[in-house]
Formats: sequence, structure tokens, C-alpha cells
Amino acid sequence: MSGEKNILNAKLWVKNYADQLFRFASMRINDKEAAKDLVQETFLAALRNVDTFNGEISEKNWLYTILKNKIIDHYRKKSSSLISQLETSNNESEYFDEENHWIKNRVPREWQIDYNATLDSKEFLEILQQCMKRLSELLKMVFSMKYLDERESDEICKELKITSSNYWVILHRSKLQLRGCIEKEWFIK
Amino acid sequence: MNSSKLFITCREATLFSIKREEKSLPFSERIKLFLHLLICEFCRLFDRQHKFLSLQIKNLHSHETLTDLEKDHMHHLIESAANQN
Repeated sequence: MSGEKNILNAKLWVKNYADQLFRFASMRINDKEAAKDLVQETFLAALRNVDTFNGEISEKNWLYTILKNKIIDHYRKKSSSLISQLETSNNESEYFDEENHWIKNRVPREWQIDYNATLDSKEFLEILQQCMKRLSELLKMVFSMKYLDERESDEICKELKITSSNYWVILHRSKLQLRGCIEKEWFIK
Repeated sequence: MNSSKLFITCREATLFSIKREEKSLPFSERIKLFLHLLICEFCRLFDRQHKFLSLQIKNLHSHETLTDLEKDHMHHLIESAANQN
């Protein structure tokens, strides 16, 4: 390793990183304004903490770390009030009947693709993104932490202060909804 | 619900299938899921499709950007905060 340390150049932060940090945040938070505010707070927090920057990681990674913590804080503030909604709503019943079998017009249909391969299609990814946006806030939080950030389930529960049974209800609902949305918008038009 | 029963519902099978993806499904439940998937083509499809979606999510990128005005505003804020330090 070279002895060179990374340095900070706050004057260029917005130009160099604002868009990429904003994209990172807006993939994880439905509210565009809130995503923008988090990016702004990230820069301001970074300024306040320049002294703690030791140059071991790049400026960019350092800003990302701050933003990730801001996103978790944002999630955490909301998760407790959202959890109570989770317990009162039961939206799996959109998909299953009283005997807990698929409702006739909700059954999965064959998509006629190779399920083990990546689908190389821009439009598909756009629809996937739109379908993810339709997930309610709590589902989106857990879902993003799991599938975008690839965090472990027990970490997610700890960070958001949710029980593991809540966690499974949330993932179950997210996947049911997302699958249904993709099928409707992409495969069966 | 009787947890010792061998046959599970589609609602349980879809949940089990998600747990299995995360390697969080105990052995006895893996057997139940296996049996259910043998006889239920819908849950078999669900199983393949939701795993397919997990795979695709890795390719997601946002193309959204901030407006120049928003960036100017941000830049201005940082400058003035930096000058105060």
C-alpha cells in the first residue's frame, strides 16, 4: 500500500457526488424530497466531521457511509409507527382464500422465460423499479435492506427494531406484491 | 394451526419458499415445502419467479438526477456552512 492518504475536497462534493448519492437514496426511499434532504444532510454532516476523516477510505466511500447511516435513521424513525399498521392489515388475503390457497385470478402464471438467467432488458428493469416503488414504506425499507444492500435478516431486525416474525410477514407480502405487479405489468399484458 | 401436519397451505408454502431462499427454513419444514411443491404447480411457479426477481434486483440502477437548481442550492449551503467553521 502506498503511504498516500485520501483527502477531502468539499467544494467538489455536490458536483462529483450529489447525483449518485441521490440515486442511492431514492432507490431506498419512496419520497424524493426526503431522499434529497438526506443527501444534503450527508454533506453537512460530513463537513461537521471532517476532523474524523482519517484518509483510510476514499472520500466517496466516506460520504456513502454517512448517507447509509442517515437512511437507517430515517427508516428507524418511521418503522415503529408503521409496524402497528402491519399488525392490523392483512393483505395476503388479496392472494389467498379462506383455506389459504391461491385465489383463482391471482394464481401465478407461467412467464415462459429462463428463471435462472438474468433478463437483459431495460424496460423490464424499469417496470421492476416501478413495482418496487409501489411497495408500502415499511415493505420497501426491509426489502431494500435485504435485496439492494444484501444485509442479513437479524441485522435488519436489529436496526429497525422489528421482530423476526414481522420481518417474515414483510418479506412475504413484498414478494407476493412484487411478483403480482411484475406479472401484470410485464408478462401478461 | 397444527404444526405437525404434513400438508401445508399455499400461503404457508409461499412463506416457506421465501425462508428457504434465506436458508432460514428448518429441515422438517423443508420436507413439507418439498411435498407441497410436488403437487402444487402454482407454488412451484411462485418459487421460481420470486427467486428470479431477487436475481434481477441486483441489476437495478436508478437514473434519477437532481436539477441544477437543487444542486446549486446544496452547493451554496455547503459553502456557507464551510465558511462558518
